[in-house]
Amino acid sequence: MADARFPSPFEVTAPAGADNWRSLYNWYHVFDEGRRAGDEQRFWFQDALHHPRVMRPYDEIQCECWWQALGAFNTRIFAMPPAFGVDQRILNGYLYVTPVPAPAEQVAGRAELFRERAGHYYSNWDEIYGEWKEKVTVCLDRIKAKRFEPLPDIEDAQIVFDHVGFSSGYKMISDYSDLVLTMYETYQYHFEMLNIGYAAYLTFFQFLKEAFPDISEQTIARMVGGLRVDLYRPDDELKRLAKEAVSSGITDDVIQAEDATALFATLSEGEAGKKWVEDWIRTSDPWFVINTDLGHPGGYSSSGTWRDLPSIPLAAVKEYVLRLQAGEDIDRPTREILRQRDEITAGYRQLLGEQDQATFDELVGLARTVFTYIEEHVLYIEHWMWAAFWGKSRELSQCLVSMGALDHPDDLFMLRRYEVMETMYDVVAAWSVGAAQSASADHWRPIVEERREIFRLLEQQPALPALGVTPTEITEPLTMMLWGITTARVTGWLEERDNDIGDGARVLRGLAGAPGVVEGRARVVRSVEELKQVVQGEILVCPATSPAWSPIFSRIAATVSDIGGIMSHTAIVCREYGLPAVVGTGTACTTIKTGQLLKVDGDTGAVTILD
Amino acid sequence: MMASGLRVPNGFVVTTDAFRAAAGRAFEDATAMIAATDPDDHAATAARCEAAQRLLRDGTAGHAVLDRVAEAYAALTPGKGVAVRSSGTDEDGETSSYAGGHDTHLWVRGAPDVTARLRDCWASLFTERAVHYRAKRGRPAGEMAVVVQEMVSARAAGVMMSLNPSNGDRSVLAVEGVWGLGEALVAGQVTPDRFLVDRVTGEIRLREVAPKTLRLVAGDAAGVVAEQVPEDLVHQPSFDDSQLARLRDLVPALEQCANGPADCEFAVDDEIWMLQVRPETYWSQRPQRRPTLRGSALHAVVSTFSPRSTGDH
Repeated sequence: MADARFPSPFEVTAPAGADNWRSLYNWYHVFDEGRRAGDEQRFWFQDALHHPRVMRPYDEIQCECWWQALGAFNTRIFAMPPAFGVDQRILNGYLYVTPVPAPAEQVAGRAELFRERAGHYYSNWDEIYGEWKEKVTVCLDRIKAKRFEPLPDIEDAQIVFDHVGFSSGYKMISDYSDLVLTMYETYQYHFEMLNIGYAAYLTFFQFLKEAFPDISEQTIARMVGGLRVDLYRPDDELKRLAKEAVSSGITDDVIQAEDATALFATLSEGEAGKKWVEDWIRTSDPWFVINTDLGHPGGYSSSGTWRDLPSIPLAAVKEYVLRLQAGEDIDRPTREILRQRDEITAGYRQLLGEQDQATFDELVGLARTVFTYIEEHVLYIEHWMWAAFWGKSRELSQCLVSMGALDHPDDLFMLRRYEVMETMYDVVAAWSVGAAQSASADHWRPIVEERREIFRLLEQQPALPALGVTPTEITEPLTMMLWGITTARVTGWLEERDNDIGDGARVLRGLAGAPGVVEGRARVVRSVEELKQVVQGEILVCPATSPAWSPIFSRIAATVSDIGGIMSHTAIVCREYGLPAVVGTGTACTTIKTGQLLKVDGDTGAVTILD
Repeated sequence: MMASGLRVPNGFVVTTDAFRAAAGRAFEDATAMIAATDPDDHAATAARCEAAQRLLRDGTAGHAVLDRVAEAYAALTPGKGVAVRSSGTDEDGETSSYAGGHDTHLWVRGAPDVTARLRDCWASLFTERAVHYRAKRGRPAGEMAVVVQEMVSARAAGVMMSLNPSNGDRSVLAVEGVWGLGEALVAGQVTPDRFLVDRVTGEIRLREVAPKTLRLVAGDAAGVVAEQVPEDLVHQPSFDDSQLARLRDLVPALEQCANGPADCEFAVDDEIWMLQVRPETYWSQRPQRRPTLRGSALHAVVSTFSPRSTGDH
């Protein structure tokens, strides 16, 4: 594998007609001649975990948030000994990333700093997590409180009599600036606890792997998971609403409903139904503020939430109602999961020598402490914060359309965020002087039009899995665990590139995400909207899943994903539901066709296409 | 083994006392004859081995012990074939592993054949390879016990170790299996299926199904014959998940028998029959695997993320 390499990022050409794609992104975020010598020698992999699709210019903020914050916390704050940050470049609209190693001679010194700093967090984890929730809630409230409305002809009297001292125009610029900065700030908190949390979990993992080389990753995860964390709450709320529907005698209406809005209108006419609708509405904020992105939640402005698309949660509620009618128990077997967790933990502890049991006890304790954060932060940041941010961005876009600065509510997302700021200055200046119109609409119209076409062309060309020089070995623990990128995975990409897969039974390799072996028909699903095609008992083949996909897990027999490690949403949820899962196959969605018979072996991480 | 609640086929042991009673004189003469031979002189050794085995066979013929054996045999399930297996005291002891070094006779039927095979077992103390094996290790011939055990009509059979022999991981069970009798596996005639089973969770960590075209089954009259495995079974795993789960349940009893990590042979019909249990000989004599991460959780985290920083803090 040492002499093998993927295409240089500088050799890859743009799709015909999309040569000007770089204009969609910030100049410092694309491969450029100035950094060419260094960048060509690095190994870049496509971050299909967080950004499987081409991103719109405005959405670039999503990547930049973690580019900076992950880097600063690893490199400069906690001094993660072997790893600096994860560098990023955009190529043809796709995000490529590469971990930056710390220089070997700095590792020992960084270890001393890390011991003190991470140690402080571990010792005070629950208290710091309490503070963390407050900080993030403040950010969330700040974003939700903003109002982007067309500026008034004459300012409200309050501006004068309260001595506010600034105009609504200035405030609009300031609010937009604060919107972006608040999101950026939230990412500080996101990484304040995430990577050191992962570090503790990984250490427990490493400890067990050394003592028991054959232990499976999911067994380790089962020793620390299963707590009643908020991540499972949205699904629990769906089940609760299903039970309420049954006990309120409105099951027929719910089962027969085609459309959520129509159902709510019908139900509101009756006493019991009205109460149920009110319950739904109360529940939906925050529990249905769940982003529906393909893959990592919150990654794209274009995906709405369950609240925006109530037919998604309604489909799940219907499903649960039907299962309740069939006499099934729909609750997650939490108690059984906890019992197994304790049994497995005790079993492995006993297999260790006595001299290692104290370290084991401390490590499993620490891993469980950090695990709640690892699972829950997704709800706070990836769902609630991003949903609020994209929602307010849409409100701003609508406002700019109303003020004649943009033609269409989607246009804002074809602008880079700095260009949006330029627009604000133009619009506010025009409003302030009483000019008939701002320059923005005419300025952006041809640009937005060109970008829409480029975006369309970029989306038609799939991403390459990797670029640049292949490392002899992938050793960086976070890359392996978070992205599921291992030496074997990279070798697999190279093999797939070099060999056409022949006929007959074919095997895809991934990570064993959740135990068990089943056979069944494949259903390839690339977005939440396609979930309704899934038939009971099919095997879900997808790029990755997020909590928006939760309702599906009660219907499928197994899951196969392109991307994700043992800590991915897919793996966690499948373990919860007792479904086999193979994650991080890299190519399942492109290799497997809907209807093919698959054998999914969640014990070994193999997916066999049987026909 | 029987006391530990494991399912063991009916049978009896012809003890070393019985051996001494029947073969005492002949055994001493044979031992002296072999002791006087230069083991590097192959031709002479071969001849003396022949003679020594003859001494054992002839010297034990018609002895009263054989009548007792015939009686014990008559008390077993009528018509069932038995295995007659030697169990030399220097075989499978804690420090040597000489599995299969002495004779084993399968599907023996009728008292005359059983006693004849018993005497063959006794004589097998002086086969050339047994003599050679002992000479190399500077051991005298030990006395021999022989196990007579009802055969299991094995649909499949295998061996299991209560650790992974390739890395000493005690959290898994390593199982190998073939169709038919286990001798095909022990003798290396058939490539077995391989399984690794997590002993805590029961997960099947590895399931390697080998194409198994041959199997050993009972012959019409006596002994075993190799036959073709039916087409539909060739690629089927020799044990299903529930059988592997039952094997896992037996591990505590097996380890108690072996006084530590165990190495066992078993056969499966509708039940799992334990044929032999002995201590695992390699890993159980070495210090148990340990994680290199030690001390407090924080110390372990720092060590994980700074491989060069070793030593205690």
